[in-house]
Amino acid sequence: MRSGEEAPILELRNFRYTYLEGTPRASEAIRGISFRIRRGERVGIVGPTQSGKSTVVDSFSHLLRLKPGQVYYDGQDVAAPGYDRRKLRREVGIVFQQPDSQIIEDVVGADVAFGPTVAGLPAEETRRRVEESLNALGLPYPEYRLRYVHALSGGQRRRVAIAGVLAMHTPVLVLDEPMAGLDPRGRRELLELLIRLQKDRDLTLIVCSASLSDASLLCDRFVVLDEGRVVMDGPVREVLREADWLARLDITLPEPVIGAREFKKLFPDLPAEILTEDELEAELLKRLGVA
Amino acid sequence: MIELEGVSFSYRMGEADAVHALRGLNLRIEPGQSVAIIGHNGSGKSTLVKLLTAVLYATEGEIRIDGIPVREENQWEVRRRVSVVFQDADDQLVMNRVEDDVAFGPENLGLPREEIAERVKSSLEALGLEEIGERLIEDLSSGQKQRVAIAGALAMRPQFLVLDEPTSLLPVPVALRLISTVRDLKRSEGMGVLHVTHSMSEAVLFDRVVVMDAGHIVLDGAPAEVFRHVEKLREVGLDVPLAASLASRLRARGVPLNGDVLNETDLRNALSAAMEHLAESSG
Repeated sequence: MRSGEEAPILELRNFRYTYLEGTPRASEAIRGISFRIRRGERVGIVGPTQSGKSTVVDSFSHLLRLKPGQVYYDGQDVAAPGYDRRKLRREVGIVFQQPDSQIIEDVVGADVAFGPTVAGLPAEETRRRVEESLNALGLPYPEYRLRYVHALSGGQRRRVAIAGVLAMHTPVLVLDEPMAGLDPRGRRELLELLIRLQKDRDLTLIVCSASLSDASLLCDRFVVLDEGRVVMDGPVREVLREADWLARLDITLPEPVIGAREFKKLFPDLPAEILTEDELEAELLKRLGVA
Repeated sequence: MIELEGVSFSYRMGEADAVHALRGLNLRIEPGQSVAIIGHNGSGKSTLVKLLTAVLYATEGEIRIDGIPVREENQWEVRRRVSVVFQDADDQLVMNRVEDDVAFGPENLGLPREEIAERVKSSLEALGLEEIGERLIEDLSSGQKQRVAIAGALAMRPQFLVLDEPTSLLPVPVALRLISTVRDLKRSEGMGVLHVTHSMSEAVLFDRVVVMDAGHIVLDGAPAEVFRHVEKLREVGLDVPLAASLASRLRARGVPLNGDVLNETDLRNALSAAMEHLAESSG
């Protein structure tokens, strides 16, 4: 593990989870997972569909019936008797894959205000946070606060959902497949926005995805899940060095990594862990002897 | 055949905030052709799908499917010829078991029982689902669910299968396997396929690529032709396949790459030839 001076903000200790436990339809989703996430870290929890990613996300804010001794937030067992779950949900903000599953109000401003209002913040503070969150997501407050949510595009609705979570000022932001269904331009815009937000607010960012392509640009570290187990955990480039191994899983590898795997047949010394097209171009030019 | 002549569509027509989604579209798709339609969100491609399936009707111009004008009074005739599969299979699957879901459409056509059974069997086989016909849909992966949705559309024996971003929520390897299956399908059935997507690696698998922007068609041709327009594609907010983009950058740096480059294998072959050429000219 990394330098252990500071307590991790989130920790899973041999976490196991079975849906419909004790019934004939029981299915074991998580088979003993351990990892720690430090404050301010940017971590991608990646793996194919049904590898357990969403169950791990749900565990972070205690949306599951958890057993004690498995999930810790800020050093405290979230399943211990008497633990304040409502407080946990003010610390860990989750944006689910389908924005429509967490948009409650018809009007943009009202939806973003929902969380702060329920948390009992004064009206003036709520208004301030709505304005700040919408502006931060590139949905200018004066222009968008009275718009109908259903008349927005998919990408805009996803931003409204993120703004709603952002308005809660949680130190941890968890995004489940944030780029799914967005077009290339929408992807690039959201990516830049998330990188800036994470930096400005020093957020602990957890991105859950089957696409290592999007996650590699947002995160420094990958925890790779497969069939309910952690199969790799390390810095993004170290994980991508094992591209041949990863290619056996049904996940989206970054395009430059796919290219590098192919061109290795021509240049065996080409590195596997290439993150951008610029890097790949430079590596190829070097080997072609073109300066 | 699908024919569009001067087709326009506006949402909130006549109001101050009207949105002109399609502007004078002309398009002809031959029977059995496989076409990828690409464009960023808001380019008009989903509106086009709604017009082809008689969910919306053109505000100007005319669409004909098999010679039948797409109008409200012909909506059932049109939908019998065009089957659509949506982005999220959960929006489309209605029954609990795989076989029952695939049988749902043909049952509603009032077909004889033997005919229904035959269609279900062949549709399941075409999508490689014959082993899981009895399974519960809720137990399937997202890729399998999308296959069930396509099998259901296929069981309607349409002349055109329209796929409205069915892969955008799937990991790339799963999506590519699915789209390869669909492409091989249409070869064996003589059915036309229109695939709406953002994915360039999927678009290159089709006979023809139509690029839309702001309600217009901006590029239309074989994949190799379309992906030569790297700058134009970027301008309309799309990505270019990495191999095509890299090839154009390497050419700009003087690397002699010949032929069309659509994927990594093409580029590796072109690079290999270029290396021999460079070695000869320096030796």
